[in-house]
Amino acid sequence: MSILSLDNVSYFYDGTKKNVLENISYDFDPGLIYAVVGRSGAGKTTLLSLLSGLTNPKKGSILWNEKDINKLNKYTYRSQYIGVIFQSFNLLPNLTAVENVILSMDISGKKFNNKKQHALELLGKVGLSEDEAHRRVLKLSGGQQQRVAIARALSYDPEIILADEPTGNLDLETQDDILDIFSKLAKEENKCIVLVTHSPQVSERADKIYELIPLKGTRPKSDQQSNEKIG
Amino acid sequence: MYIVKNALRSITRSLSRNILICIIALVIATSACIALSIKQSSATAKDNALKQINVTGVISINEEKLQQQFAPSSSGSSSTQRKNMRTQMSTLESGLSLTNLQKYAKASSVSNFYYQISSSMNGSGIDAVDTNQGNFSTSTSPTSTSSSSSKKSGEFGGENGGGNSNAPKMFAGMGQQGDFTVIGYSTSKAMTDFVSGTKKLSSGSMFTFDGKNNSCIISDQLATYNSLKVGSTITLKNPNKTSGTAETYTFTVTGIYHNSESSTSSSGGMSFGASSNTANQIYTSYTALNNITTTSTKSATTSKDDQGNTTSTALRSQVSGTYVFGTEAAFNTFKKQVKTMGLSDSYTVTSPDITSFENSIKPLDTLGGYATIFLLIVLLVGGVLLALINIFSIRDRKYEVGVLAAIGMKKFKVASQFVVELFIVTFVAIIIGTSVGAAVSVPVTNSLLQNQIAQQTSTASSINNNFGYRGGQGGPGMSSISQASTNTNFVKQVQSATDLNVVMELVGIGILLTLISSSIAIIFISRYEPLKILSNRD
Ligand SMILES: Nc1ncnc2c1ncn2[C@@H]1O[C@H](COP(=O)(O)OP(=O)(O)OP(=O)(O)O)[C@@H](O)[C@H]1O
Ligand SMILES: [Mg+2]
Repeated sequence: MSILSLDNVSYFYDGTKKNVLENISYDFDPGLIYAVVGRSGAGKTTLLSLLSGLTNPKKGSILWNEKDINKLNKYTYRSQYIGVIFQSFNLLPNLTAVENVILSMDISGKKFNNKKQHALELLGKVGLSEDEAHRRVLKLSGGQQQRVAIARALSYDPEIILADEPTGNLDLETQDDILDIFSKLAKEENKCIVLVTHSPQVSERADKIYELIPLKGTRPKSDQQSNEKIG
Repeated sequence: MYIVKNALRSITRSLSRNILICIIALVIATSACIALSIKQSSATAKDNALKQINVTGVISINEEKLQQQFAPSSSGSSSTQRKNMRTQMSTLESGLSLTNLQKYAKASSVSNFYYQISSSMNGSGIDAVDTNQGNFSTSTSPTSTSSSSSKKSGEFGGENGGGNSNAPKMFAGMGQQGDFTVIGYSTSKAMTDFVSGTKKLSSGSMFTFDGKNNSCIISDQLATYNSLKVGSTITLKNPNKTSGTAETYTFTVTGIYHNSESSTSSSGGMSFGASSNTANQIYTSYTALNNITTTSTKSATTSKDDQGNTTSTALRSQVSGTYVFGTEAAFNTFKKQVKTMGLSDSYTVTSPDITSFENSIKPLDTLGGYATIFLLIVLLVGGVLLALINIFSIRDRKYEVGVLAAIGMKKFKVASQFVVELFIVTFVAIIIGTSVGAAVSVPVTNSLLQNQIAQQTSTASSINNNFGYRGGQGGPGMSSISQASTNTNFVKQVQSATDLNVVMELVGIGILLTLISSSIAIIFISRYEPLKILSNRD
């Protein structure tokens, strides 16, 4: 049974003429890593925004455990069930790395024995030193910020991880470490991992790849926009 | 609660913005504290003073109305006008007879009523103390005293009295002004100076109120001047009987009193001789003096002068009644009650206590009025400023709001955090502002009060100068406007201004300011869409 699925979803941005996504039906199962690929502007980030409930499909629906996420409390959904690593990180620049992580743990409302320790452990896992963990996000490099965003998404132990190019700013070695973490989460903790990526190294590690093809013209009627490929 | 933790952290991480908000709130709080303290001290002074004063009231002729009636513009020559006015005056005065006054005393609002009669007489064998001549009067013979004093004081209400705007309150009907003012009281309560302690018996005892033998008390100055002792007798005579055998009355001195206040109560202006000197006041019982005036009226003869005015040789007297009320409210009720009981508009009901009390707190009251206006301006300007700062700061925090929403923080909680931040900043400002305000409000209030008093005193004294002739009217029961304003004991100082009331009001203002500030944040947050905020980063 899919934990998350897109059911014939179409989407366009208000004020634009062109569909970004058209009749998309993807399923995401627990314990697997998914790669969503496609050229720049194909709609990958848009897809993640829909999956994370930040916007609603114009047509079709998004199902979480077969329930329309529109019928769920979006805030509970976002703060507990899914962990999102945004393409632009969306960290609070005035807070330190560890504070950013703890904030998400606070918002989730979940119980933790020692939030700070847990946060520091996670930041260590993604390769941040203790010093970096206590630095304001503003003063961290792009790659370091990206890893804070990853630690934050993992911190409250969500069932689903939605990651928008989570390794885009990282060197290959660090990227491998991060991918190892994701694999482990999928295999050992039965998490569902959705990775948006341009990188062949990343899609190689995926169990399944969805490819988005950019749409041309004004809302064409063609039905099949995506290929399914078993990895 | 992580919201509070976040709020505190957020305050310390964007210090400059919060310091700005804090400074504005601090200015508002300090100004508000001072303004409220001034208002409060005015209210407190009022309350305390009202608790202390015994509210008394008197019914008198409405002079203002009378003068309007006989205004120069109305037809008729000025001399007939004055004559008409005098006739009207005496008619109105007869309306204030004791019987009538006692009728109004039955009003339910009155808790006590007492009355007094006063008359002006000359001495026979005793001389009046006259401080106007620098020392005691040098007039020797009783007859010359009478004539010289009548020259000095003029004829009360006479043609040369200059009484166009200044209708005499007592002894109308053209009686002669004597050197001594004899006052007969109905009860010891009526002797307010003795009740308050400004006058005290220094030897002997009080006269008897039954009036059987004409007992009286005199001032120590008069006693010394005439070598009178307790037990001495004094003889007074009717100043209106200028021909034939003198009409004399004898009193026994049962006591001598000391007046701790300066002997001339009315300051400034002209003084009409000895009668204005309180040392020449002789106190007796109502019954005694009333008997004397009744006798005098019975034996009086009338004559017409060349202008056709009728003059009587009877001793002139004036009865006045004082109504005592439990509260100021009762006094106000009384004003309405007497109207329904038939008191015409030609009379007014006034309370010297309330008038003098109101005069005494006038500077404080005025200050309180200014404080209110000031407070409103400060709140308005401060409120607008805070709102503007918040509009700008919320734009800065747009991204933060978007992120918090994207990671699943409920709008309500985001808004709460912002409100808590503003609340903490505002209340820190309120606490500091209240402390500063409380510390400076007493000196500030007092110095503002001094200015206000100085201003009102100069206004009062210029009024006094304009009506200079009024100054000499200082007879018993007479309080002219000028006297009331120059002799007013203004409330000159406040002890403490900031009290719990003020603090509570400031807390209210703090909540109000927080609400103003927060409402903008709340409106913004309730309308945001995280995706829009995050995808339009500007
Ligand atoms: N807020 C927006 N308003 C209007 N159009 C938008 C908005 N955001 C994205 N688009 C458009 O929608 C299309 C899909 O954008 P999206 O960000 O999903 O692409 P992407 O696949 O994530 O690209 P990239 O690989 O560069 O991140 C693009 O053509 C983009 O111009
Ligand atoms: Mg993208």
